[in-house]
Amino acid sequence: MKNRLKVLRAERDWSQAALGGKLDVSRQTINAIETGRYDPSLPLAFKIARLFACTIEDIFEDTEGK
Amino acid sequence: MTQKHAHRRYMKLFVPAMAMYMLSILGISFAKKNATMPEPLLYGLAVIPAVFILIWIWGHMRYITELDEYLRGLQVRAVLIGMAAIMAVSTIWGLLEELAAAPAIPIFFIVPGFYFIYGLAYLVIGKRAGVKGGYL
Repeated sequence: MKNRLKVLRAERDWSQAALGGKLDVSRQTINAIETGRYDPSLPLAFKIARLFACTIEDIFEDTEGK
Repeated sequence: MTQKHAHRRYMKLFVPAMAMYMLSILGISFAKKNATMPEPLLYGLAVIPAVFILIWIWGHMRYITELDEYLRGLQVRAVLIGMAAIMAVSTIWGLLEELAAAPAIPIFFIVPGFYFIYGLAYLVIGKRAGVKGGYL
C-alpha cells in the first residue's frame, strides 16, 4: 500500500524515531510503513491520521482497488 | 510501552531465571553425586530447573506481546519457524527411533533446539526487515 507518511513527516521535520515516539511504535515500524513493506493495523492507521489531522485515505492509497 | 522498555523488562527476567537454572542444575547434580536420595525426591528436584525455563518462556511471550505490531509480527514469524522446525525434527527422529532403532535423543533438547532455530530465523527475518539487533 502506498502512503504519504514520509512526506507528512518531512513537512514537520520529524525523524522516524520522533514519529515513532509520538505513535508509541518503533523507528523500524515507521521505516517499514514508509517503504511500503508493512501495512499498519486499522488502530495504528487511525492514530497516524489523528496525529496528522487528516483522514486515513489522505495518507494511505488503496492500490489494490485500482 | 517502548521497545527498549520491553527489552529491559525481558532481560530483568531472563538473566536471573538463567542464573537460577544453572545454579539449580549444578546444585542438584552435586547433591545427586554426594548423597543417596529416594526416587520421589529426585523427581521433585529434577523439576526445579524446569520451573526457571518456564519462567523464561513466559517472559519471552510477555516480551513479544509488549512489542509494537510490526516487531511482534516479525517475532511471531520466527517463533512459528522455530516451532515448525522442532516439531518436524522431533517427529522424524521419533519415527527413526521407533522404526529404525536410531539412537534416542533426550527430549530435554527440544527447548534449546527451538530457541536455536528461532534465533537463526529471527536473524534472517530481522535482517530482511531492516531490524538490526537490539531486540532479541
